[in-house]
Amino acid sequence: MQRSTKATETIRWITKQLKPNTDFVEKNMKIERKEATLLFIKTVVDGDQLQKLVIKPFFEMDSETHYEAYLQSLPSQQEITTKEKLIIELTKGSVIIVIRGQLIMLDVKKVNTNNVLEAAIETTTQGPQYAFSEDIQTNINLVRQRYHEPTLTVEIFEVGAKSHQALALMYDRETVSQEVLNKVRKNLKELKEPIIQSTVELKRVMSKKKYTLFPKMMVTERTDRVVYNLSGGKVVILLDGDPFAIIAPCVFFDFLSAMDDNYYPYFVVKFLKGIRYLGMFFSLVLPGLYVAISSYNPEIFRVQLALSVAGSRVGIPYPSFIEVLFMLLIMELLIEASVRLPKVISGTATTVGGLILGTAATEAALVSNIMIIIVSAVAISNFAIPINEMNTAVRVMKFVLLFIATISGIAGLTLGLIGLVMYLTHLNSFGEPYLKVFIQKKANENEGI
Amino acid sequence: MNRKILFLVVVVLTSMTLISGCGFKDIDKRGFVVAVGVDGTKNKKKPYRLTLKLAVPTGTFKQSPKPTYAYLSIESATLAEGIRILKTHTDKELDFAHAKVIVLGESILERDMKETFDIFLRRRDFQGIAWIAVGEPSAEGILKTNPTTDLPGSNALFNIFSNEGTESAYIVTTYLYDFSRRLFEAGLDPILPIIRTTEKTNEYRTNQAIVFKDDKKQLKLNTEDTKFYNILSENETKADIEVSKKELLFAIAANNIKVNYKILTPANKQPVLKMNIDIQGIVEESTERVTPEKLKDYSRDASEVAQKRFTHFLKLLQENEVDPLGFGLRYKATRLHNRDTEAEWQRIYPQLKFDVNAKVKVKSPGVIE
Amino acid sequence: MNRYFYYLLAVNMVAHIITSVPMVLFEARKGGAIVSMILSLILGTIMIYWITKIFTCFPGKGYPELLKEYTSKWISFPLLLSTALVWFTAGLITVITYSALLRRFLTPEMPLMGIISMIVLFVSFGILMNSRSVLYTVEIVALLSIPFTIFIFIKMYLDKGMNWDFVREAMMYIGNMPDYPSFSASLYVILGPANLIIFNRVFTDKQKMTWKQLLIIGITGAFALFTSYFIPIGFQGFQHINHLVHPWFLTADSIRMKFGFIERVLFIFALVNLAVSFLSILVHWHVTTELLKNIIWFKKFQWKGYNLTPLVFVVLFWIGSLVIIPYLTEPQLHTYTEYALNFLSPYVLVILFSLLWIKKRARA
Repeated sequence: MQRSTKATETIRWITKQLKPNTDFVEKNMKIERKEATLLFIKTVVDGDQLQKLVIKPFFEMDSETHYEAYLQSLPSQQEITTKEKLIIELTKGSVIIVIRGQLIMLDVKKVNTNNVLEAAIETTTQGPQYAFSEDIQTNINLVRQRYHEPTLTVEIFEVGAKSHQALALMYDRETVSQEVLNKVRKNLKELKEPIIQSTVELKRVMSKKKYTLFPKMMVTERTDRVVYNLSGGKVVILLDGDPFAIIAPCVFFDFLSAMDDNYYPYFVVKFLKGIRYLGMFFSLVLPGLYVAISSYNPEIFRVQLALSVAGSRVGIPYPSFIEVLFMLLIMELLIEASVRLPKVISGTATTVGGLILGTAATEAALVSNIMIIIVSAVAISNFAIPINEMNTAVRVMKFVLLFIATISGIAGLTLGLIGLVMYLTHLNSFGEPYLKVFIQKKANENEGI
Repeated sequence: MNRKILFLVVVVLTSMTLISGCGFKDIDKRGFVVAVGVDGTKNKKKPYRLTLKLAVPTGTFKQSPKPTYAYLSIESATLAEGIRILKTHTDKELDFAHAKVIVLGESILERDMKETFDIFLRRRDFQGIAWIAVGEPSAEGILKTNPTTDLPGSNALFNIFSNEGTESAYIVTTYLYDFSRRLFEAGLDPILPIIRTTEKTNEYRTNQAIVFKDDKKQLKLNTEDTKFYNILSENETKADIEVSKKELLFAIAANNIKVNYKILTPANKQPVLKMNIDIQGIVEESTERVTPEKLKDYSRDASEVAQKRFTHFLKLLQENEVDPLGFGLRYKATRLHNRDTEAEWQRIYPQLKFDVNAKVKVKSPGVIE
Repeated sequence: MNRYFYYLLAVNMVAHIITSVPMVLFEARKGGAIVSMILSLILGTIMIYWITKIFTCFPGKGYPELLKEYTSKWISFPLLLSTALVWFTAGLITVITYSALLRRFLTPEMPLMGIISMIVLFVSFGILMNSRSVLYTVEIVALLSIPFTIFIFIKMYLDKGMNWDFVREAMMYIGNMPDYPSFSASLYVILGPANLIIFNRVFTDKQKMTWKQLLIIGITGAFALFTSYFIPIGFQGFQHINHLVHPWFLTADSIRMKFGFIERVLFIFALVNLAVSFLSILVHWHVTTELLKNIIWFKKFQWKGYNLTPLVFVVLFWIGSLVIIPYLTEPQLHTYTEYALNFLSPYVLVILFSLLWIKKRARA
């Protein structure tokens, strides 16, 4: 009877821990010679399943042994390791059944977040329209449904010292780089955060360094992107309760690729990619270029252009860099405001901000016409960058380049761009060089350097 | 932490305003000089009269459909001094980076061109692709003429030379760098277009040119000769040839002209310049019906005329001892260098015989027969 | 060879046109410039072939490692120090010339100190990166800027203002005897791959050097030399070209783009060349730092786990450029670069001989 005393002890401990909760239930079932006790938290278990899987069979089975054997055979049975683990599982929606002095734990979680959402951030015109759900089981299911390779491996971790969230690490055993995998595992194990609410936060705490600008891991909501990257040998991290996945390692060029690139014809893709890189370049450089050219090197423009820039600045009372800074800040505020506003109003905000303010500012000779064109070109071309994080990084970076251009003109701007390239090549994402040109075939590319 | 960021922002902003003190000058605070004119004066102490044409930037096209210019003029001992003083005559920083036209007045042509021109070669902000021209009657007069077709944002003087506006076989274009190399190199003489204007007409006439040799010698090319120069230097591949033969009068629009020449110096014989000119064109105007059979006759007649005129033009250059086409250079370029090459050419050029072989091919009678 | 090898080659081939190399050649235009160019092309290609060939025998090893492995400390120390000095000078020449050019053409109002610090600031960050990142940077910037350079070259060759008679006139001096300064200067053009002395460290795979690659080096070298000598002559004339202080910039200012935002090609040329010159400085000074690391290394000089010795080198570079450059007038600058060029290129011979010796010892 050693076993049973230990079980009663555990149960007593659990009851003591969870007693203050009004939704904690400890129920005794007894009929004829059969007896069992159920422990669960009412609000997180699925009542129907509990009734169907646990309670009903109890009254239909012939003996306790039968019932125990039945329970042991259920697929949702969970392994029991420690007392603490038991409690955590209870809070997640498991039920503990005490029968014949033995504890059996079953997963009867009630999940309200498992409906698959439509892709909202990275939309494609033609391609899979649905993204992830907020439930990890569903998400793993979604990935497995799209990637039927036996080498696909799922490792479950737990993160958050308090929240104890499930985290799934997925990769293809064949193609994944062991070095990267080990680095990611080590990184995950070292996390000490009490609560991790979202994937983006997980990404931030994983990167460890405090002062970062450029993303080294990609957060995506698209299942097709996840599968595409799995097959490419990357590691995918899914966090319970968040409809986003992390892909690592990710390099600079990954952030400028959209999933459409795999779907469209060759030349269309080349054109679209070209447009995107151009967009990034413009949004980085245009503000700085305006200041550099209009205040340091007006001789660069052809004469007609220089005169029309000069003409449009007639009557503006402050130097060009303040003009640019002022308009850029207004634009950033506008973007920020329209993200925060409810969708119904945000349309109005952009109209008021963009159209009315822009026109009024030029009429009042506070900013030049050409400045308005540049700022809106910057805003538009910034949104051509498909991944949101690169987008924001570029938004910040353009201010740095603006600053350099303000103090040293066009030559400084060029050096600043080279400096940016140097900084990016200097970074690495889990050992992969962050910025590197891939020209040769993959096998040759890794040759030597 | 927040205080740190605030501090950083303040530092960045102040350093921006502080550092930008050097070299930072807004585009609307600069006065763009679009053309520079240099005239000579009779005053010994102040031999130069400098005229600058400044473009005044105006708002939108709707506000000012005509371009507005400001003019600054001064007499001074050197051009540099003139510029310095003119800076005090205006509130804007003078910016010469867009001075695309430099006009030299007739009155300054007698002086040493290398001396006059030094500042334009030495200062960094005059562009190598500025156009140089001679102004008649004066550079100042040319600069102050504003043709009625002038639009804001485009200067009539630029359009004449840039080939973006009018294109003509009568306009010689000489860039600053070209002028400077012709000025300093032997065997290739400088040539400049002449822009004429009159008080009444308010328009430019650019169809003559002037060739310099050393300091004193000059040769003015008339309209027709200017065209021949353009054709032979292959600057212009489109031109027209008028032929009159008895009753018949026709004009050929040539659209493909190829020129090549060789200088032959056979021992003990007169040196010869052998020139082949291939011209293809179509009939543009004629006093009679042009049947396909006649095209051959037209070609022959035109060839004869062209040959005669080109030879005449070359002889004109030879008689005046000028060499804008670079025969001397070609001579040096085709003979292995020795100490006497230069002197040899000086001897050869006056007695050079021109053997011009012009071949005009009339390809089509035009849209009608 | 690895494609990064060619970037090293290309950087020198383009970057030299803003240094005094063309001017040295123009000085000797009535003497043996052309013959010297041909000679140096042949000899330089052979030297490069030889050096590269030796390095392919030791994949993943740089010059310092080889010296340490096969020679005694008494030989390796002075050799490494002098090599570092030579490479530093090569970088410094470019810094000097380009800062003078910037001051003349792009930022005339900015103080020289400001311009120099601007360049050196960015370079300092670059030279502290690892060699791999340096090569990646070189590749990206080169891929972005060299097409522009070639576009400008082609535009120049096709321009009406390019008077081939001047080129032919220059060619007529082919019969003269070669002279040493122009030989040494034109050697500099193709010596880019000498940077392998450090960058061979990252070429860890076995590389091959065949006659095909030799041909590529030879042909591109000939094109680069031909262009840098004859294009300015075609535009600026032959007799007086040595009177020009910046022949290449004036030549770039002699062509115009009829359509486009920018009319004066000069500015595209200046910016593209700024990028390429920056690469040249970056590569040379990175090599210098890596060489110095092998000579001087303060083990205790640490802060938060980082060794700060490379920072000392960077400070030295700063002092070097900020003290030397403002001190020189432009003609002095030109004379001193000429001396430096006379010395630099033949120094590669020293490296070549030491490498041959190392190879011999390695085989024994």
